[in-house]
This record gives sequence, structure tokens and C-alpha cells, in this order.
Amino acid sequence: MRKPKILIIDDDNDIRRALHIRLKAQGYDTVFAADGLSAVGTAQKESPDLILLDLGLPAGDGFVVMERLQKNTRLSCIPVVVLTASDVRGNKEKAEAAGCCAFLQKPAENAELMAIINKALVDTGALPQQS
Amino acid sequence: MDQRPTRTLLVEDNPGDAFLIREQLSQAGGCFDVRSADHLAAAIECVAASQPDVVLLDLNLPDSRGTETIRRMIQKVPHVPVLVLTGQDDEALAVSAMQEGAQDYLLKSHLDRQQLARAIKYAIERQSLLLALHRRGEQQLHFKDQLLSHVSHELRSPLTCIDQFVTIVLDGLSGPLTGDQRECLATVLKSSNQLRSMIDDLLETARIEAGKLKLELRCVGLQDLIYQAIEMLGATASAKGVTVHSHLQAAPLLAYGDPSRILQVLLNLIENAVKFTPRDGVITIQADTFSSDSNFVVVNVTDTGCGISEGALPLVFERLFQEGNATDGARKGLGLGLSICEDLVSRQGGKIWVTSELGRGSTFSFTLPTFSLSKLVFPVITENGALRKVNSLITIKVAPIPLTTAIDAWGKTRRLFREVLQRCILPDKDTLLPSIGQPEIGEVFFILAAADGLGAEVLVKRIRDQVARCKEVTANSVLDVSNQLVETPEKNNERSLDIQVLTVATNIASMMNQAVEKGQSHNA
Repeated sequence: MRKPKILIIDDDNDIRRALHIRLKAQGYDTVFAADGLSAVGTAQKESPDLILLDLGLPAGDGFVVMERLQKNTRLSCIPVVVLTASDVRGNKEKAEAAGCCAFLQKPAENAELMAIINKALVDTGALPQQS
Repeated sequence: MDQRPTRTLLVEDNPGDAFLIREQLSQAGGCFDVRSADHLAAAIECVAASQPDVVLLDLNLPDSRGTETIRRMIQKVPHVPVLVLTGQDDEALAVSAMQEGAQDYLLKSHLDRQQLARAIKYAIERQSLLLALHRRGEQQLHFKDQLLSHVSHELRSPLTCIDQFVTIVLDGLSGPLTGDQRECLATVLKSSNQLRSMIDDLLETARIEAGKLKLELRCVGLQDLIYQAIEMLGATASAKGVTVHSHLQAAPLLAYGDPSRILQVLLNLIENAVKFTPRDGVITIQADTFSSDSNFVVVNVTDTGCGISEGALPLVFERLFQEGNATDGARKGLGLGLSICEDLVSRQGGKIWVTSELGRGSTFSFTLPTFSLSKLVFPVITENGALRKVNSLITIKVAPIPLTTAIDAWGKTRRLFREVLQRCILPDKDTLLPSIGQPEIGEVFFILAAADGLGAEVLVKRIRDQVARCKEVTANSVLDVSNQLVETPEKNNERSLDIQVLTVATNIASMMNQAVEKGQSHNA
């Protein structure tokens, strides 16, 4: 089975790098986007198995990205995990309504993040069910 | 400056005085556009309708006398400058009128045209200066709130980064570590965690200041929260050689509050206690019905730490207060924790206080309103001044959610469930009782229905149908829906209705507790 591919959308270069190291260690491949505009194009080109999405992005925030993903039949079934430092009340509900499958506040516990990613990938069949 | 006449409202009940003042003003050559009122109610109405530039106010009117007149005027129309007119030379009255917000105080017997015109002009100027100052103050407050929230938010990003990369190295993802290196990095991590919790406190304070703190009040089992808090801080305490234990009664202690906020208060108090208690110290958490008022429950967090000096006692809940006696050389922190606690407790209707003996330890206590089931069910189980004969308790158990799911998803599921259940009941006959539960053990919802066994069956079926139809709350997360008749005392005229309701409420409470306990053992 090929390695699941995860698209990391975050405008902070260091955060992208840190997430890449973590995810690589878990056996995932990673691809990146640093803004809302290029994010959907990258998703189209790379067909990732999961998207890790920051909300505060230049050129189209996370909500805009989710909206664009939802409009595309092929992309709309990719699970989106929102990982954000913003703690504006109501963002969670808004993001859930926009179609994310999980919402995590930065700094998130790594174990929790990995468990959520793992579960989402098992749910979509990108990872085999663990016995 | 514009040359339009100054719109003036003259409030004077004595026709002679009114005439004289009008005369004086009209001599100013069209500078004043004067309207009159002869009692306060008419004056207030007129101010609201015509927005005058200034009000000349006699304090003794048919419908109001003395400083009361100016107080009521300012209360209704705070922005209009008011000049008080009086017949007698009374220094004390003048001072109190100014304190109530009058701009100036004029003796009717000493009025001349120039003096009156000048007094009016100055009053208007002063008032507009005051307003501008006030507005600027508000802008600054708003700016401060924004700054606090913005800065704390921006501080979080680099912290996240530090946290991420330190844990990457600590987890061995960049190669093996020596023990020394591990120790150094653990210190970095500890410090960055301290910094983060300070930023959280700062954000929380900003949120409270801006009135953005939202509370979700519900029925809360205090024991669960206390166990959870002890569990969360157990490692920190034992690392310091401090024991944390609890003295709790077995029967559930129900409060009416926001569980996440109560937990926040508990964590804060216990964390503080750990900080100020030396090795081998003991922290005890107690909860009980409040002895001075059974409408409240009280939680005590007692430590055997250094105690608080008498001088510092009244200050500990003040914002930015810091005590430098931490036993582990811990850094001081921002001094916001206890002020946040006080705010959270008082917003839930409780009180927080501390008693302490220097060198022996401190006890922090807080109260919360008791959740009173009998008060809640009273209107539902009585009709025509008597106890309703047949009542059923419907129990709906919802499965615990996986621990990996964000805690807020749990909150959402709970809310959706409440909405679905609310749709199933007859609002004038049945009532949705507070639910009890936690993500780990599942949630139990209760409906008190005016129905016998058969009627309850119908309602249970309706609930099953509705839950199955609501795709957000998948039907398979419902473990069990069941109904039970509530025992109702035989008609007994010697006992008051209150006592009878209390008896039924006690029955309902014990049925609820059984349902929750069964759920817990089921999951254990």
C-alpha cells in the first residue's frame, strides 16, 4: 500500500517544517501550500488523502479554502483537519459547518493530532483498519 | 462658529420667574430659541423630542423637588448640559447639584443678561469637552482590549513553534539524545509551557474585560469535576512530593454552573496550592452543601503550605497581585489566575474567599448555586394545586465519544440531542431535565413526562424515530431509551404540596443517579 499523502496548508514556514517532520516519522508523505490561493490548485494536482488546514492564511483564509474544496466533487471527499492558533469563539462551529472533520487548537498535543489524522485516514480507507 | 440660536429649554414652574428669565434671554438679540416646561415629566419629554443645546432647570417643581430633580433629568438625558436655577442661596444644594452632574448653579435673584448668556455658553462648552474626554476614554479601553487580544495571539505562534521543535528533538526524531541534553530540553519545554499559560491567562482576562466570556449553565456533578482536576494535576503534584486527595460524599453533589469553567477554577486553585506547598505537604479537596445556606454547594481546597500573611489576604483576588513565597523557586506568573477564578465564580452566582494561617496553610473556598430538582419540577408535577398522579421518567443514554475527538464535538452532539428531544416532548406537560455525564462515560438525558406506562412508550418511540431521522446525531450513538414510572406519594392532606413535590423530586433524583451509575459500571 502506498504511503498516505497529507497536504499541509499553513503560512508559517517553521510550522510546515515541524509538521512535515512529525508526519514523516509516522510514515506519511507530505506536500505543502502556504496561502489560500494556491491551496486548492495544489490539492487538485496532488490528490492528497488528508488536508491539514490553518485558518489564518493570506489570499483566502481557511474558510474560503474549505468552501472551494467543497465545490469540487473530487476534492470535497478529502477529510480536512483544521489546526489553528486563533481562538475566536464560534470558529469551531463555523469550520464544522464548512465541512472540516476535526478542529484542533494550536498548540495541539501531538498524540491527539496523530490520532485524529490516523482515524480520518482509516475512515476513508487510505489506511488499513488496525487490528 | 455657527450663528444659529442656542436652543434652550427653560424648566420653571413659577410663571413670574419664567417670564423674567425669558425676558433676559430675549434681550440677547435672537441668540436664544427658548422653549418652556413647567414640570419635570414635560421637560424630559421635550428634551427627548427637541434635543435642546442646554437646559435651565429649577430644582423645585410640582412633580419633583431638590437634587432628585437633577438626578432624574441627567438619568434620562445624560448628554444635555444642565444649569440649575434656584431661589435661595444654598451652598450645600449647589454642591450636591453639581455632583449629580449639573454644569452650573445660578441664583434667580442675581441673574443679569450677560451673566446668564455667559453661563449658558460655558456650560455647553464644558459639556462638549467632557463628552469628548469620555469618548476618548472609551476608545482607549477598546484599544487596550484589542491590543491585549492581538498581542497574546501573536505571541502564541512563535511559542507553538518552540514547542513543536523541542518535542521533535525530545521524541528522538532528529537523532538520539544524551540524558543531559534531554534535561536541558525538558527545561525549555517547561518554560515555554509557563509562558503559554500566562498568555492564556492574559487572553482570558481580555475576554472577561470585553464581556466576551460565555457561560453554558447546566446541571453539574461536582465530584466528577474534582476527580478530573486531581487526575490532571496528579503528575505535577507528585513530581513535587505533594499529595492531593479528596474528601467527598458518595451522593452526587449537583451544582448549577458551567462544567468547563468550574474545572478551570478547580485547576487554578489546586495548581496554586501545589505551588505554595512544600515537599511532603498535603492538599485536600472537599465538597459539601454549604452550611450557611443550603441553596449553595461549597468546595474547599486546603493546603499545608506557607499560608498568606494578614496584609496580603484581602489582596489575593486582586488583578496582578503576586505572592513571592512559592516553595519550588517557581516563577511568579502574572497574578491573574485568582482574579479570573473570582470572576468565573461570581458570574456563576457563587462567591470565592480564602482563610489562611501563616506557616500552616490556606483554604480557598468557593460556592455555586445548588441545582434544585424540586424547584424545577414543581410546575410540571402539580396541577390545580395538587400533585399530578402519573409521571414517567424517560432515560436516554448516549454512548461516550472516542477520546480522540475534540471535546467540543461532544458539546455539539449534546446540544443537538437536546434540540431533538425538545422537539419530541409536549412543552406544556413534559420537561427536559438537565443531563448528566461526561465525554468519557457518555451522557444521560432525562425527560419527565405526564404519562403512564403506555403514554411513555409512545414518547419513547417518537424519540427513537426523531433520533434516527437526525443525521448529525447518528442513531447508533444512542445506547438505550427506557421509561419508568415515578413513585408518587398517596394523597395526604397533612403534608404540604411543597413537601410532596420534594418527595417526588427526591425519587426522580435517585432514579437519575441510578441511571448514571448503571451507565458508568456498564462502561467500566
